[in-house]
This record gives sequence, C-alpha cells and structure tokens, in this order.
Amino acid sequence: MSCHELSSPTTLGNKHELIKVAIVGNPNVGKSALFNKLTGGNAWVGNWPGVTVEKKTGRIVIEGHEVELVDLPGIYGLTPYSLDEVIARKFILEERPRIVIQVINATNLERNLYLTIQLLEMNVKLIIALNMIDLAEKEGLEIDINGLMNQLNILIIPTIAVKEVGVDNLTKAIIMELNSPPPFFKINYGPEIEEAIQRIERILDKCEIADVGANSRWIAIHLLEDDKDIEELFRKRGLEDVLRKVVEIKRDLQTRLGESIEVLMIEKRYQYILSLTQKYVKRRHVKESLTTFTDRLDRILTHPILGLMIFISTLYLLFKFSFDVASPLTNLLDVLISGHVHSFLKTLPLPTIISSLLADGVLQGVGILLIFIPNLFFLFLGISFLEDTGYLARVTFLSDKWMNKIGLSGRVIIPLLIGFGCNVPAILSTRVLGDDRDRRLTMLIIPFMSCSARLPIYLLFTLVFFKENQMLVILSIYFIGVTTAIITALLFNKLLFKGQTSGYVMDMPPYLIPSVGNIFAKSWERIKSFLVRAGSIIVIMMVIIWALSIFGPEGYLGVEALRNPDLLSRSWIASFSKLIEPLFKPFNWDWRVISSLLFGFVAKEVVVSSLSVLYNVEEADLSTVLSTSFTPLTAYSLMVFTLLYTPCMATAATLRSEIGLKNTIFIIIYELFIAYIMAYLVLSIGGLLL
Amino acid sequence: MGDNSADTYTGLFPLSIIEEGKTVKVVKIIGGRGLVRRLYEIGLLPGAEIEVVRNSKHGPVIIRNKITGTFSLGYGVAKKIMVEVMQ
Ligand SMILES: Nc1nc2c(ncn2[C@@H]2O[C@H](COP(=O)(O)OP(=O)(O)O)[C@@H](O)[C@H]2O)c(=O)[nH]1
Repeated sequence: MSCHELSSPTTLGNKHELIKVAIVGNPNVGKSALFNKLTGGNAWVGNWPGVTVEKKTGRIVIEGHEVELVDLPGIYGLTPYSLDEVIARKFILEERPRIVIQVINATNLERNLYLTIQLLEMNVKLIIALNMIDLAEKEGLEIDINGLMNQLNILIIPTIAVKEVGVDNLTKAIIMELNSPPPFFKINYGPEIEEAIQRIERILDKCEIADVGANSRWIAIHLLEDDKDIEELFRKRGLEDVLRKVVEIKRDLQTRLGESIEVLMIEKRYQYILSLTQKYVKRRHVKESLTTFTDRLDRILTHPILGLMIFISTLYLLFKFSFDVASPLTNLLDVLISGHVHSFLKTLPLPTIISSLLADGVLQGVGILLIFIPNLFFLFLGISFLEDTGYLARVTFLSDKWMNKIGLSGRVIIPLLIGFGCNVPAILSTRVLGDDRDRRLTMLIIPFMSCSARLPIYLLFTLVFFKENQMLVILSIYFIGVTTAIITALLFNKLLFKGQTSGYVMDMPPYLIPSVGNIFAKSWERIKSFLVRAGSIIVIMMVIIWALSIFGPEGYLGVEALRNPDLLSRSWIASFSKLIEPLFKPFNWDWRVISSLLFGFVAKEVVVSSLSVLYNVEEADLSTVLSTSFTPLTAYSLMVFTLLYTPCMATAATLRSEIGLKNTIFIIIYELFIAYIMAYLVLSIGGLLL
Repeated sequence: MGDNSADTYTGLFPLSIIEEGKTVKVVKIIGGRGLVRRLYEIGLLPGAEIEVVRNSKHGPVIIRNKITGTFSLGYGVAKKIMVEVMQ
C-alpha cells in the first residue's frame, strides 16, 4: 500500500472495485481504537484535498473485496461548526461512501443516536458499531440490540474496540450490507413541518440538484433548518429563486408554529430517540457507576485551586518523564549517527563531494530528525495517556479561566503544551479549535513555547556561564518565552483580533484506564505525521546549507570548508553573515554566531553543532572557546534570542500550509523583531544592573 | 418543552453565574448560528433542564443534561446561555 495509490483512486475503477467505507462518530467513542483494530494499524495519514485536516485511510481485504476505510473527524451532528465537521459532512455528501460505520458509545446512547438519525435521514447505508459495551454493562445498561436493529432496520454490531471484540463481525457486516438496498428512514416532524417539507420537495423536484448527494427530503429538511452550506450550493447554481420560495414557506410555517422551526425539529429528533431508548434500554441500579466515580475524582481534579496544583505537578512530571526516558536513547542515536554512520559514509569509495553530500548534508538532516524522535515520542506517549484517561478534558476546563484573560479559550492549552515538545504537531493540533480567530492567534504564539530542540543550546551556554544556577536560568528562559507569548496575545487582541474568544463546547468523558495499545498507536501516528511534514524539509534545508557552506563568492571551496574555519569564512553563509553583522553590533556577536543562527533556522539544535564547526573545536571543547568570546550577559541575551527568533523551517512550512505564505512571513518577521528587542532589553537592563 | 413567553425576563441569568449544584432550565441562547446549533444538537434546547456540576465563576462550567450527558462549556459559551433557576 502506498500513498500514490491512494491519491489516484480514479484509476482503480475497472479491475477490482474499491469499496469506500467511512467511519464516523462523536468524539470519545473509541473511534480511533476501532479504526486501528480494523486496519491492523496499517493506516495511511495524509491530508484532505484542499484543506489541511488530517485524513486517515486504511486498506483491508475482506473476502476478496478490497475495502478502503476512511476515518472521519469526530462530530456531534451533520451541521458543520468546526473545520473538522465540514470535512466529515462533505465526505459523506460528495464522495458517497458505499457504507458508513457509525461508532457509538453504548454508555451514552441518546447523545450518539442523534448523529445516527441524521445519517439515516441522508439514506446512507449505515452499520452501527455499538462500542464500549463492556462499560455499558458495568453501568447497568441492558440494551436490546435485536429490538433496536429491527426498529431502525440497520445492522448493529456490539464491539469492545480495545479488546478487539466484535471487529470480525463488523468486517462481515460490511460485506453483508454491500448489496442490500439503502435504508428508508423518516421521522414524522408533525403535520405543519411535514407539509412545508413536501412543499419544498415539490420545488426541488423541478431543479437539477441530483449531484448534491442527498435525497430531496433531506435537502428540504436542511433548507428548513437554515443550513448555510446547502443554501450556498443553491446560490452557486443560480437557484436563488428556489431559496426565495423556501424563505416564504419558512415564514409561513413560522407564523403557524409560533416557535423556532429549528428547535422544534431537533426536539422531534430527540423525542424519537427517547422513544427508542425507553423501549430498548433498561437501566439496572449499580453501586459504583462510572459516573459516580468520575464525579468523585472530578471534585478534586477540577477544583479551582487543588485541581490547578495537580495540573502543574502533572505537567512537570510529563516533561520530566519525556526528557529523562528519552535522553539515553537520544545520546545513543547521536553517537551512532554523527559518529559511526558518518565515518562509514566517509570511507565509501565515492567522489569526496558526493560522500560529503551524503554524510554532511543528508545524514546530518536525517540525524536531526532521528534525534528528535525519542523525545517527541515519549512526550506524545504522555499526552496520549492523559488524553485517553480523560484528564485532558479537565485540563481544558481548568485553563479556560486563565486563557480567557489573554483572549483565548481553554482549548488552546493542549496545542501550547505540545509546543514544548515540538511546534510542528502543536500547530497541527490547533485544527480542532472551532474558532478561526483562536486558531490564528494560537499559531502566532506557539513558536514562543520553547521546544525540545532549543534545550541543547541552553544546556551548553548555562553549563559554561551559569554552572551554579543552571536549572534556574533555563527555567527563566522558558518563562520569558511564555511571557512573550502572553504579551503577544494581549497585543494582537487589541490590534488585529478584536473581541473575545467564542469559547468552547466539549464532551467530558468519564475517567477510563487507557489501553496501552491505543496509546502507542496514537503516539506513533503523531510521530509519523511529524516525520511526513518536517522530514523532507529538514533534509532538503540541510543540503542547501551544506551547499552554501562549501561554495562561496569565489566559487567552489571544497568540502574541507566544513571542517576548516578559514575556508568556511569565505563561503556564502559567512559572507552573508558578515554582511548583516553590523545589525548585531549591540550584541557583540561576530559572524560565526550569526552563521550558527542562520543554520539554526533549519532546526534550532543545529546552532550548537555549527558553533563547534565555526570555532573549529570539538563540541566537548566548545565551552572553553565560548567562555572567551561571551560574557554571562551576552550569553544570556543569545539564549533569549534563540528562544524567540523565528520558528524553525519545519514550523514555518507547517504554518505556511495552514495559514498561507503571507501570514507565515508576517509571523517570521514579527518574531525576529521581538527576539531582537528582547535580546537587546536583556543586554541593556542587565548592563545597568551589573 | 420550550413554552416560554417572551415577557418573563425576570429571573433570567447567564449560565456562567449559576452556583454549583443548581438545576436550571435553558431559556434561550444568544450567539452565532454555528454555536447555537451546536448547543441545540447536544441537547441544550430551550426548555431543557441542566444541572450545574462545576462553576468556577467567570470561568467555564461543567453541566449535566439527563439525556445527553456531561459537557464542559467555556466561559465564552456559558455566558451566552440564558437560564432560569429551578427549585
Ligand atoms: N472499556 C473500553 N474502553 C474503550 C473502548 N473503546 C475505546 N475505549 C477507550 O476509550 C477512550 C477513547 O478512545 P479513542 O479511540 O481515543 O476515542 P475517539 O476519540 O473516538 O477516537 C480510550 O481511553 C480508549 O482506551 C471499549 O470498547 N471499551
């Protein structure tokens, strides 16, 4: 299976028909767990065309049929609110999957069935995976599955995603459903609304809308509910007169009902759902239900003071865990790559320029990536663990009050936290934010969260200049990053993003013991998506930097330039650094420091290794050289500068794909400017104090 | 459900200021279409009864609806939901 096949589905039509199956569900129903079990972990993560929401697909073969499973973002209903939901609905409407599997949380049938009703109204072929039946049983719920199946006329397969129970039945159900006719489903909305639906349907029958992807009753219902996207579709086709007629019908209906049509229709759906659950679900009383357990834990964990303290400790443990566990692995990889593999490549019988390209360009880039991975992986492991226990939902709640003070919603805390690991996945994780304003503002401040790539720089300089207070000084740098983020948010709130955040609406799942497999799968997925995005950019940039170092205004300098500071000082990189050296006069940085900062644009940790090349010393001896060319104050201002100056290439590329080139350039310039000011402030205030 | 005449505005409060443990009835939601629709779809329709499980005053709330379960609403959302306190 490869991405190439997936990106050209049109060529697959004739030989074997590829059966498209979409998987939908509310958030927190176990959808990703089930998807992983269905695909055996062989998912391909890519992007939805045109937008940058992650698209997860997986291919499986069931009884000789080739099936493509598409994981759609978690949604509550089919009326779009956030970017994620727009995608989910568009896919069902426009790509018309043969079958839709809705994953349902059996402990919360009523809420989940709302989406079921909406899917059934679209006349899609639906299979329900009634997940978490183990929990439902513990909660004392007895669901008459057969009764419900007969009533709704669809297949309902009980599953326990984390234990792989029911997964086989689900794949069998896909095949069974292939040739059955689409279900017929209709809710009776009451005489007045039904009459209006019929009037609209009659108008629709006269226009060309077969390609909308839904039946005319569905379109009529959505027009009655003021569905802006559907209205837009009509406008695009020049069918304004239809919309005008619909408005009239609505006005008519409104006066007859005396109440919001939309509210009445949603009420009708819930009434129908309640009639179903009253008939098919029995509740036994249980002593210790998940709800009472969750409530008791929440009394502490969402407490405004206690909860906040626990959150801060958890945060500390999270970062400590990820760094401590990863550091031996990181060191090992470092030795392997920059030591063994590097010298091995150099011994290959290749022209020097080629072997240098491989060893000093490509391998260097790959090395940067690989050295990132342990750190990131363990951080993601921790975050996925917290997510799956249900704790992250509480963190959002706890932070909302504080985030509101800088004009953001509590939901942005999670992207910001991820930012301390790596800014790239942090920016990607802003997609779940419903509010575009929140999203842009969050992306603007994420680069100020000091990612793990910047830590080696602080470690090096603090080791030389602040040996006694190393921890404290490093913490102060993180603090400056956070403060700059807060100031930036406040500033842009006033200037650009007027007004307040619109807040968030989020499910509060019960506390669960997470499944190890699910956590690993999630973390791996996040790593993969980081590699896909950042991988090629970092490697390509490293090669470009390599080329700019061995060539100069006078031509080819030879690959020795990388080891020889005299040669390197005649390279393009050095020439450019010398050109802008006057700009950094106040800081007393010579061209070598500036070159390292330029290298650091690829990935910030490169600053350390470039410094060692430029000063022509081993990394271990770098400290002695640095102690002669820096004072504690200039070292500190350099740390502040590296913290704040521009997002790295991979982050910039991610930003570009999310919010466009113009905004990205703006962010880069803004952050360079802030870094300059802050570093300058450090110098002048420090100079006054010392 | 939903039978609220427009003139009973006395006793109408934003959800954000309701104390923990109180049960309230949703009267109306003031907000953009997308938000209103989202809240309706998770069962916060005019007339629906909800319990305020947690309220951190001028911050977000956690609410429980008998039918659709527990949700957390940001302050920005909570202050847009106008409710009536029930006994
Ligand atoms: N007990 C139990 N837990 C489950 C089941 N399915 C998923 N979970 C857990 O429910 C949580 C949410 O699952 P996830 O797949 O992340 O849900 P998603 O948000 O719908 O993708 C995780 O902690 C899972 O381990 C199940 O059938 N039984």
